[in-house]
Amino acid sequence: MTFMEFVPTGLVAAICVGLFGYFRARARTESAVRNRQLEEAADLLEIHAQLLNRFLNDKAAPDTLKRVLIDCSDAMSDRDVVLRFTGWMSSRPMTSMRRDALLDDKELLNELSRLKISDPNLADDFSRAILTVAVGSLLRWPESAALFEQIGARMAANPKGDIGLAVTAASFRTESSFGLSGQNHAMA
Amino acid sequence: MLPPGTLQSLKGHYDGIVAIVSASLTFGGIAVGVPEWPAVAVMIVTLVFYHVRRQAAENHLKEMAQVKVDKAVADVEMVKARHRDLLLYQQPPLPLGRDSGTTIEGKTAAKKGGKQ
Repeated sequence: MTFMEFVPTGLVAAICVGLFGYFRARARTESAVRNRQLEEAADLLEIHAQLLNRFLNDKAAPDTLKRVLIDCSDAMSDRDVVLRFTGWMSSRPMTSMRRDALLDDKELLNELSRLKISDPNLADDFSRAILTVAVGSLLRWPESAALFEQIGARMAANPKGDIGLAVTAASFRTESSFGLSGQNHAMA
Repeated sequence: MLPPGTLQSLKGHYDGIVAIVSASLTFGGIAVGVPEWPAVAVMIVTLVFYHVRRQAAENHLKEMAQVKVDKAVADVEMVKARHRDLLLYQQPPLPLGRDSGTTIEGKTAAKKGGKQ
């Protein structure tokens, strides 16, 4: 066999090996990234369950904040809500998380301020419970995980990020478990 | 035949090893007189088969991770369920037991008990 006779076969073989390398590298990277996201989501949601249990079992924790926490957790366990929330949030300016006037609910903010003074550890549990469920839920689904960079930056840049995140996420849920709106918080 | 350092850099990279070994065997086979197109076809089948197997293994790992996520989600839901009734109706949740009549198993047991 001369070299020229070998050229077409060699070319086809080289192209096949190149395509194999390309597809394998792509599949391996995608799989590794998604695997890591799922592992982290599982760890974060485990921590969220522990914090939720501690906060909800604590007699010193105000019922209003307990409701907000459950409402936020419910909202973030719904795929549609998470996708709408991430889509909305990733298109916001960096330090503007508020969707509407929900955070003008002074009672909620006062409850949290009071808790931060009376029991800083419990207030810390509240904040961590919200952040763990938010990040864990973002990483849980591939569509929202893809937007994690934008969302993470906005979460870090926002003042009162925890409570703002909870109330905003809950507001994306059309049917809240407690039927809460900003006004209802004040009534509760 | 291979550039220096190639084997060293392939350590642990099974995809690269498979690609280089199968290409080497194919070209080597053709050089010693194996019909060229069947040799290339065998190489393609080998690569595709390997890719499918690796993909299946990677998907399995993803499914295992997904199971961990589902378990964590179930834990979260369990914690919330315990407190939801208490917060909403100011009363503890109904007992969910085999004989309580509140689960499918319980209802079945209660029906059986009624018949007897």
